[in-house]
Amino acid sequence: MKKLICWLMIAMMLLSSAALADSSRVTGTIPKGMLAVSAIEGLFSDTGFEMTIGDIKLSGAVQADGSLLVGNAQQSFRVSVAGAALLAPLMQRLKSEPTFENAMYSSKYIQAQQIELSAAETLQLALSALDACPLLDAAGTLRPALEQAAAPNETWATVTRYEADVRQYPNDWMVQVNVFAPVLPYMRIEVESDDFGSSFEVAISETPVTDWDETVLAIEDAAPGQAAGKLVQGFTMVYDNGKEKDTYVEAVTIGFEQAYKLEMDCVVNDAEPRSWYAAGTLSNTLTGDVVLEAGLQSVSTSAAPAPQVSTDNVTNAAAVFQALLGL
Amino acid sequence: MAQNARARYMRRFRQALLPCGLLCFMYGIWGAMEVFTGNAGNFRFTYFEALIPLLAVTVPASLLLAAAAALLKKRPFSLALCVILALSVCSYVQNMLLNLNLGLLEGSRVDWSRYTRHGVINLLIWAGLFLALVVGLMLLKKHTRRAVRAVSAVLLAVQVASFGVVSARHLTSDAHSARDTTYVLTGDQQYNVSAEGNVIVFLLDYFSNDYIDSALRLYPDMLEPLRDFTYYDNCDPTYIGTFPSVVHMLTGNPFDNMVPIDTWFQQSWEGEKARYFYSALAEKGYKFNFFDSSNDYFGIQYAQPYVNNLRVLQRSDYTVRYDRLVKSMLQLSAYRYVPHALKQYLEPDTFTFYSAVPLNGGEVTTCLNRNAFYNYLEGQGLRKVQGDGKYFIIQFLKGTHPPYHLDENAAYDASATLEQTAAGYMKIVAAYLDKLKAQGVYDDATIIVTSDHGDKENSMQIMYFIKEAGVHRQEMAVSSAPISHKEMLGTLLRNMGVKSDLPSIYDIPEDEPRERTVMRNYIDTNYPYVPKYHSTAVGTHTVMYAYTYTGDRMALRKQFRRGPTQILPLTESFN
Repeated sequence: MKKLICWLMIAMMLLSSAALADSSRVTGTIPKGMLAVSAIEGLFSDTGFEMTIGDIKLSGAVQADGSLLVGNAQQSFRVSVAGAALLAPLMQRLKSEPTFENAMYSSKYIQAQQIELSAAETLQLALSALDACPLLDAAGTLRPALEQAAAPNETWATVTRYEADVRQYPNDWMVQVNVFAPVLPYMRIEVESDDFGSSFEVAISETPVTDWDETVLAIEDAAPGQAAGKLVQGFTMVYDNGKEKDTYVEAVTIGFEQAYKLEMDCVVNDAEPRSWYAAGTLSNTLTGDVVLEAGLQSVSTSAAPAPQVSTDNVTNAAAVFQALLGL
Repeated sequence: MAQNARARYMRRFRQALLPCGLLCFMYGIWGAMEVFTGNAGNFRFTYFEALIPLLAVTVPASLLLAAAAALLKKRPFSLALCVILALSVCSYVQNMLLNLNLGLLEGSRVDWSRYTRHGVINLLIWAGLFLALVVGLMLLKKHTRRAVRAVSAVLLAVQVASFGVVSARHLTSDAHSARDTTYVLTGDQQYNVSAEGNVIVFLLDYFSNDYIDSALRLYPDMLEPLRDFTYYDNCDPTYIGTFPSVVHMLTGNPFDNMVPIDTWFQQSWEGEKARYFYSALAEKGYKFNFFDSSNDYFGIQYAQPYVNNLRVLQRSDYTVRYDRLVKSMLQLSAYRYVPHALKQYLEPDTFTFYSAVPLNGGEVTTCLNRNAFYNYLEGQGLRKVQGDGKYFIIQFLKGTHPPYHLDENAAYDASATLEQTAAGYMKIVAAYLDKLKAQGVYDDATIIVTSDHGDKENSMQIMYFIKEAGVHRQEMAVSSAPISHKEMLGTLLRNMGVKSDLPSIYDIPEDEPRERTVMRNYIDTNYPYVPKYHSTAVGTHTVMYAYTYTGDRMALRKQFRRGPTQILPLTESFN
C-alpha cells in the first residue's frame, strides 16, 4: 500500500508536469525514501510521454477522445479528465432548481443552495465519478460493488454550493457533497476554492452518519488506534508573481494505518513554461520519517516522445502498477 | 349638517391615526434609530441630534397622512386604512424575516444582479401577503376599521416598547456617554510640512503586497517614482484590520483579547513603550500630526498627550445638516423595510452620514472622500512651515479597500479595478513626493509607504516601502527580510536619530528564518458572541485566529490553508 501511494505521488507529479508540457525533457532524482533511485528521465509533449524511473519504463499516449492511456506495451489504464462534465449538470441544477436555498452569514459565505439526490441519482453520480476518475477505483473492485449495491429508500446525498460575498470574494465558492447512504461508503467531499487555490477534504465513515460535521470532528480528534473513520485533508495553492508561477499541493491523512503528509511544489517560469522545477515529499506525520522525496527539473527540447502503450489490454491502475513494480 | 360632516371627518381622522402613525413611526424613527443605537460609534451625530429632526418629520407626516386618508369616506376610507396597515405589516415581516444578509454597510456596493431570483420571490411574497391582508380585512366589513386599529395598536406598541428599551440601554451606556468626550483629528495642517525635517508615513489602510504584483503587470512603471526607496516584499502586518493594527503599530502594545477594547486602547497609549516612544519623539523636536477621519479605530482620546492635531469635539465645532441627516436616515430606514427588488434604489452611502455633520473647518480629507486628497495636493500643493519644529506625519488613506474607487490617474471612478486603484494610490504618493521636492524637503525626509493590513485571506501580507533621509538610488532596492509592523516604532526612532532597544527593520537579516504570527478577527460559532465595542448591540466577531509561520507570503498562505495555529476568544468585538 505504502509503495503504491509513493508511485501514485510520482505519477501525479509527472502527470501534472505533462499538463504543463509542450515538448520538455524532465530529469530528476529520488534521493530519499523507500523508492530511492538515482535517476528519473522523461520526455513530454502534448501527444504523450515516455519516462524511466530507475529500471521501470512507463509511457502515456493521448487518445482521440482526449483521454490518456498510461502503461506499457503490455497493459495500460485510462485517465480521463471529465470531472467538469460530471459536475456541470449538478451545478446547473443547483442554480435552477435547488431543493433548499438559504441566505446565511459567516465571515465569508452569505448564500447556500442545496439539492438532494435520491438513491438512484447517488449511485449514478458515483458511477460517473468512477468513469471520470478511474484512479478512484485503482483496484477495480468498487464499481462491481456499487453496481450490486441495493438502493434502499433511505439512501440519499446532498450537494451544497456556498457562495461568498462577491464584493470582496468574487471568485470564491465552496461545494460540499454529503453521502448519507450505504450505496457508497458514508462520505463527505468538501472543496473550497478561491483565486489562490483550493482546500479539500474527503471523509469516510464506516458507520452510519447523521451529522457530518460531528463525524469529521470525531475523526480528527480520535486517539491513535481508535479511528472513527478516514480523512484526507489538504489544499492546493497557485501564485504567479509576474515572473514565476508557484503551484503547491499539501495533504494529510488521518485515521489510516499510518499518518502521511504529502507536499508537492512546482515552480514554472512564466516566460518559459517548459522550464520548471518540482519537488515532492511524503512523510510519516507521527514519526517524521521521510517515506519519499523526489525532485524534478524540466527543460525544453525539440525531441518528441515515442510512447508505447497497449490499447488492447486496458485494465485498472492497480493492475498496471502491480505488473510494473512487482508489488 | 356641516357640523355632522366635520364630526364624521374628525372620527375618521382619529381612526386613521393609529395605522398612519404605525407606518410613519416604522419608516421615520424605528428603522433608522435601531441601526443608530446598535452602531452609535460609527455616526458622528448624537442620539438626540438624530431623533429630534426625525420626530419633527414623522409626527407631521403621520398627521398629514391621517388627514388625507380621512378625506375618503365609507368603503374607500376603510380600504385606505387596510392598504396602510398592509404596507406596515409587509414592511415589518420584510425586516424581521425576509431580508437577506447583504453584509456590513461599510461602503462596498451590493451586486444586485446576483439576487434577481430572490427579488422576484420576495416581491411575490409581498404581493401575496399584501393582498391577503387587504382582502381579509375588507371581508370583515363593519369590523374592518376596528381590526385595523387593533392590529395597528399591537404592532405599534411592540415597536415603541422595543424602541424604548434600546433607547434606554443606549442612553445609559458608554456608547452614549462617550459622545461627551469625543476627540477628532483635525485637518488644518494636513498639507503642511516642516522646513526643519519630516518623517512621513503613508498608511494606505488595506494594501497587500500581492496587489503590488498584480498592478505592476498592468502598470510596469508604477513604482518608478519610488526609485530611492527600498521595497520590503515580505512584511507582516501582525494584525488584519485597522483595529487593532494601527494602535499596535503606533504603541507597540500587542492586542489583549482578555480585556475590553477601551481598556486595551488605554493600556496601549499609556503603556511604557508608547510613553518612551513619544517622549523620544518630543525630545528630538518632532510634532506628531495624524490625519484620518475615522478615529473610532484608535482609542484616540488616550493619545491626547502625543497627537498635535487632536481636539475634543465641541458642539460648536460642527454643523448638523439636518436636511442631509434626515434624508440619509430615512433612506437607511426604508432600505430595511422595502421589498428586496427596491433596495438597490435605496442603498445607503456611508459617506452621506459624514457629510451630514461636517466640521466647521479642519476636516481631514482622507479616507471617505474619494480623491479629494489628490485634488487638493495637485491644486494647492504642500506648504512649508518654518519654526514649528520637525513633523512626524501620518497620512491615512483608504488604499485598495473595496469598493475600488480610483483609476490609475488617481481620478474617482466607481467602477475602478483593484489594479487601477493600487496604481492610483501610487500616483498620489508620487504626487506628494513631487511636492516635497518642490518645497526642497524631500532629501532630508524619511518616508514610509505601507498599509496597516492586507486581505483577511490569502493576501494577508502588506507592502512596505521606505526611503531614509539622504538616500538616492538609480533603481529601487528590494529586500525579502521577514519584517513586520512590530518594528515600526524602532524603525521610526532609528530614522529620527534616536538610539533605542526597540527592534527596527534593519535588525532583521534577509535570510533569517523568523517565526511571525498574524491575527484576524473571525466569526467562529463554536465560541460565544460578545458585546460590541461602544454599542448596546451584540458584536459580530467571536474570536481572533492566529496564524504562525516561518518564511514568506507563500508560507503564510500555506498556514492559512492549514488553519489557525491558535484561537483567542474575544472579550469584546470591535464590529
